Amino acid sequence: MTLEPHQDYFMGGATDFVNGSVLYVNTDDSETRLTTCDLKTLQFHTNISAGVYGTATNFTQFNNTVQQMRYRSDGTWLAVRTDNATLIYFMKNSSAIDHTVDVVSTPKSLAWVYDDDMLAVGLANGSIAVLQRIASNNTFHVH
Amino acid sequence: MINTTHIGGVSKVFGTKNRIYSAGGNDSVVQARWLNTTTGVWSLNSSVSGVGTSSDTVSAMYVSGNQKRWGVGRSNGDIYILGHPDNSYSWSIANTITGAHTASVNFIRFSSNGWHMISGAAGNDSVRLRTKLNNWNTSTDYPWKGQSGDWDDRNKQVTIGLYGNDNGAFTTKFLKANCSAGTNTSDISQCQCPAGQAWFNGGCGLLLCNSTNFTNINVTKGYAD
Repeated sequence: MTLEPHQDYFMGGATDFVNGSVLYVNTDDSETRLTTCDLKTLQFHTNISAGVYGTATNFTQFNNTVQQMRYRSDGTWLAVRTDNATLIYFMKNSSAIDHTVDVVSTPKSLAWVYDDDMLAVGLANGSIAVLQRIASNNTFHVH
Repeated sequence: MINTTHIGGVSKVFGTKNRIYSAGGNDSVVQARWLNTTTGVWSLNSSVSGVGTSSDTVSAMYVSGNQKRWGVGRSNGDIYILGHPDNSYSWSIANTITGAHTASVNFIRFSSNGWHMISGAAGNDSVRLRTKLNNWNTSTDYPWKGQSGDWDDRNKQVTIGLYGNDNGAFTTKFLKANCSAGTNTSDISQCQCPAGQAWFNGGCGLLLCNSTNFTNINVTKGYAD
């Protein structure tokens, strides 16, 4: 088995992310949306042909370093954590922050579970917060 | 809110259809919890100790799409691969790859069928590809500084975020089988196999019906993370 070259990409110009790294990459289950982050920038890349992504058309600048983000399987929601405080950011439509949820302790990791209307968040205090979507107002809350 | 016994916080979580996998920030224990969809209560389903040592910490974790493999990377470069029998989710350590990397493991990704593992690490170490066929014993190494990764099963490719660049570089690579008798026309990660053989675990072989732990060759498309 081998890994064969396909495509190389860059989130920015030669010095746009000095001392940075692409800390996280994530595709949704349709494999048509890709999001990447480096330092405080989150970028969204759209599939233009099988497994090939075009130039990022949308990006979001956070006030802090983005640590991790994960698409819900259908790509309609993106959950994001940064190195700031205790907030989880929920984004919709691949660029806009829809709302935030305070999980009280520093989030260390996150993952979608069950029917994709739940987000598990590993916390620094040793708990796992389960955030559930409330259909009536389409926002997530600590369960 | 789910309380755990992890020490040093819950450093890693991974979600599937009805399970939450977790690893502690300062322990060598990994746990799996199961959701009772009737009561809405999460219960501890499996707790495995010895997944690391007291002198290292978890640095990466991933579960294959079919939930046959659970990979845990450690700060010393070791990778633990857990498996379970086909008839239960009783997880245990199937393989310990000591020195899988020369530095802290940044990411682990399995192909959805759990047959291939791609991992990257700090310290300018290589991105490494391993296969279940030889029990993960050898790796094919690539000179890429892998910070992050994600598996794209539709296109049989891995996306790798890189470190050591000032321009936010990332790359995609196809997983390709090296075949003597031709590649599967619909899946370049598989070869055409001789009559009587089938492609599983990353190679052609005879299909056997022996029940052995961690072999679980039956493949289903799992619930992706």
